[in-house]
Amino acid sequence: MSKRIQHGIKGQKPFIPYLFILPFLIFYAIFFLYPAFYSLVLSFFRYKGYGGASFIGFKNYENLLKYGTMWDCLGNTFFYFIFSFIPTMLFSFILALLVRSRSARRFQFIYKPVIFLPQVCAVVACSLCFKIIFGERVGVFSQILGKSIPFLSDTSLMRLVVVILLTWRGIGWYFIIFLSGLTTISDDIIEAATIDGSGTISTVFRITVPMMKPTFMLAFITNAIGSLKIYTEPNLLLAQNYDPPMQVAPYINLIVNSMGGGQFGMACAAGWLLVIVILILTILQLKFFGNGEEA
Amino acid sequence: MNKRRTITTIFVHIVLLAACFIAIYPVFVMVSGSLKSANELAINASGFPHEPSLENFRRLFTVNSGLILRTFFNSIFVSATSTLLIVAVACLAGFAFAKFRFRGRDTIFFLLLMTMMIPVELNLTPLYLFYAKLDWLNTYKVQIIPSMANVFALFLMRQYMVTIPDSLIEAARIDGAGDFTVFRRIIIPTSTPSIGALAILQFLSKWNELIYPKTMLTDEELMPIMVILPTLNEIESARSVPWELVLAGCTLVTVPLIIVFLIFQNKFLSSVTLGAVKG
Repeated sequence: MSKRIQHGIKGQKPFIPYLFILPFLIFYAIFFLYPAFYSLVLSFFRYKGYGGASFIGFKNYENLLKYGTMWDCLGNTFFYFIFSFIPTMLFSFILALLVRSRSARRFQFIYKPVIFLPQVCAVVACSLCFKIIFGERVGVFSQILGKSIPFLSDTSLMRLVVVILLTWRGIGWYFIIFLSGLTTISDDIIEAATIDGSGTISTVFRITVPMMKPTFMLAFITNAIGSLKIYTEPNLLLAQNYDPPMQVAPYINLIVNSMGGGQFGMACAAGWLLVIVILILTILQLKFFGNGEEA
Repeated sequence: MNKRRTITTIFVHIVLLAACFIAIYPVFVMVSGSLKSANELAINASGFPHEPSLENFRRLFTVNSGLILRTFFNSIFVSATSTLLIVAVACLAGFAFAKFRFRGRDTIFFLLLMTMMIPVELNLTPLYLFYAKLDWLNTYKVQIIPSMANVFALFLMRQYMVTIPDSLIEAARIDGAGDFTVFRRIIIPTSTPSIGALAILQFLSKWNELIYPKTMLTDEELMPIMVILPTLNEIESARSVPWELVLAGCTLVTVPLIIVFLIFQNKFLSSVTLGAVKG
C-alpha cells in the first residue's frame, strides 16, 4: 500500500464515495466479517447446534492440537500443496519457455489453448474422470497394463494420484502466467546475452529466471493460500461418500466432519487454526520475498 | 549449425505435443467414455468407442425424472446471477476506491485486503447456523447473495479503474454529468475488458463450487449439478457402479464450457494474467 493519497477526485457531495462502497461493505460485513467474528467466539464454546453453548476456553484448540488426526490432515494438505506445486511450476515454466522459443513461437495459437484446456474443465468432472483413469477394475492404466494397480486403495499411491490431478490441472494456469511474464523480457536482452557468448541454458538460468523472480513469488503466494483449502479433489478421488481414510484426508475435512458430528465449536476452532497456519505462511513468504528483493 | 536447429525444433515440438496429449487425454477418456456402453467401458476405457451411442445421455436425463438437467440449469442460473452481482458490486466500490478522494479510503481498502487471508471455509460453520435460524437453507438466495461482496473482484476492478485518467471524469462533469452518470457512461464502458475477464474468473469459480452448496443444501431440486454428479454412481446401486453415466454427466458440465472457451479464447487467457501480472 502506497501513501499516494493524492490520486483521485472529490465527490460532488462528500457522501457520494461512501454511497458507492456501501453495497460492498454491507454485504461484506453481514456475510463475511460478522460470521468470521462469530466463529472466533464460538471456537471457545461447546455447542451442539441446539440448546445452550457452554464456555470451555481454549479446550477446543487444545483437543485439536492433541488430536493426532489433525496433524495427519494438516500434513496431507501440505503434502498435496508442496508436491503439486514443485512439478506444476517446473513443467509450466519449461512449457512456457518452449512455446516462446524461436522454434515453436509460430504455433503458439495451437499450444496455448490446448495446454490451458484442463483449467476450463470442472474440478468435479476431472476428479471423477481421474477416478476412472486410475480405477482398479475399469481403470485405463489397469487395462493397458493388464493388471490392477491399487492406485485408489493403497494410501501412499492415493496421495500420488491427487498430486497428479492437481499438477495436471494446475499447469495450464501457471503456463499462461509464465508466458505473459516471459513476453515482458525483451528479445534485445536475450540477444545481447547470446552475442556475448551465453549459451541457451545459461541464458535461461542467468537472465530469464532472475527476471521472472517476481512472477515466481506471486505464483507461490497465490498457490499456497489456495492449496491449503484443498477439498474437492481428494474427497472425490479417494472416497465414495466424502469419507476418505484419514491418512489421506485434507485439513478441510476436519471442519466438515466436526460440523457433521454437531461439534460446531470444534469446527470453528479448526477454521481458526487454519487461519493461523495461513498467517504464519504469509509472514514467512513476506520475509522470503523481502530478502529476494534486496538480493 | 542448421542441422542442429532442425533437431532442436523437432525436439521442442515433440515435447510440446506430448504435453498437449497429456492435457487432452483425460478429457478424451471422459467424452469417449460417455458414448460407450457399460460393457464396453469395462474392457475398453482408454480408446475410441466402437459403437458410439447417446444412450447414456438419454438415461442420464431421465434419472430421477430429469433431476440432472434441472441441476444443470440450477448451476448456470446460480453461477450467472452470482457473477453479475459480484461484478456489479465490485465495480461500484472499485470506482470509489480508485477515483474518489475520501476520508478512510486507504485504511478501509488495506483492511479489506488483509481479510483476504481468511479462508471462506472458516465461515461454513457460522453461516450454516445462521441460515438454519433464518430458514435460508435450501434456497437459491443462499447460493447467490452471501457471495456478493468479493474482495478479489473489488481489488481487480480498482486496479484497472485507477488507470482511467481523471481528466476524462472532469471533462464529463463540465458537461454536467453527475457522479453516477460518470460511472455508467464513462467508467463502465472503459472497463469492459476487465469486467469481462473478471466475469469469466467468477463464473468458473462459482461453477466449480462444491463444499459450500453441499453444506447449505439438502434439497436435490435446488442443488448445483456439481453436488449431484459424485452421487450418480450410487443410483442403480443394485448393479455395479454405472461409470458410463458419471462420465456422461462429466461431459455435460465440461464440453459446453470448452466450446465457450474455444470461441472466447483470448478473453479466457487474458483473465488469467489480469489477476496475476497487474496485481
